[in-house]
Amino acid sequence: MIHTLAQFREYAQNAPSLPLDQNRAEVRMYAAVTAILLVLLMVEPTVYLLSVPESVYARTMTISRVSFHVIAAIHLALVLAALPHLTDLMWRPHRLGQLWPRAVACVAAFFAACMWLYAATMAYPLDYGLAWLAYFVRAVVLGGIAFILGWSVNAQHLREAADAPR
Amino acid sequence: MRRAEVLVFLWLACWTALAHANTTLVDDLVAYDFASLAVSLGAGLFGGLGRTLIALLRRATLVGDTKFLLLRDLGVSAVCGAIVYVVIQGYNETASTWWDFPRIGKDTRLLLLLAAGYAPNWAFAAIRRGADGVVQRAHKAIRGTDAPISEVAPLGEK
Repeated sequence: MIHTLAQFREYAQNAPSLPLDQNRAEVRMYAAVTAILLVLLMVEPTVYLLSVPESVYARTMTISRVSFHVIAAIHLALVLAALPHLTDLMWRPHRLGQLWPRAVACVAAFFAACMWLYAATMAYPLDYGLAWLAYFVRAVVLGGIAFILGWSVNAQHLREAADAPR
Repeated sequence: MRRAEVLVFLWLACWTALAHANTTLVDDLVAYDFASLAVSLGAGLFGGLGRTLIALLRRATLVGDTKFLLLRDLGVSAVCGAIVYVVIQGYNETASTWWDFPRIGKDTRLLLLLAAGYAPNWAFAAIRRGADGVVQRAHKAIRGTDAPISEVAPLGEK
């Protein structure tokens, strides 16, 4: 229990989720918006592929030679790969110093962008209007998110190299 | 003198054969598959983005100026993707007539363009050297110093 001011300061230093420093909490929430968008962009195709039987996306992704189970497994893996970073941002900010959630989310975002590009290539010759353009826009957005996450990992590398004891 | 040249140019421009050739060229261009070309260009650029991401994620390579690295990789991948796209389209046009080779489908073409956009060091080395020179000169002109893009991290004693 916290009884003294010194205990409170020590607790506040180890628990950055307390909105003492409003800037840091706000920045974390803005980063969480990006992570939520990343998860949403991968959950939506999974739902449409697995549970909406005659959707445009399901029909686009099932006309190739690759087996349906492989495609569904790739979708689920991409969703799961983006979750550790989101949970760290929302509920466990003291673990944000780790690099692997961001690196895994970056790689997953890049592969998801390639997957949306594949969907755009497959959807263009079919008669679905501008669906290929919608898929292409999602691929570009995911490419931007992957770049943001990789840039954050590189920034931490730079900080660690700068602060390393000589 | 200039008036005579302008008049000759105007007379040539109104020559019906030239006008007919220009309009039919526009018709042929409009009928081209530009959406497929745009998606293929995007695939090449995504290969370059993958190369930038790998450089950002590896602990051994520290990137100083990410904007210039990204632009360099996107520029190289655009050129390499265009080269590979033209090669694939040429192969598709001639594969059925010269030999009995199969056509390259859209998904295989996407994978090839991603790989070409990634453009490993041993391939397209001349294009990468040219792009590096362009980036260095641009950085010198804008900032006045050399671009701090490092390929190997100066790891000290850790």
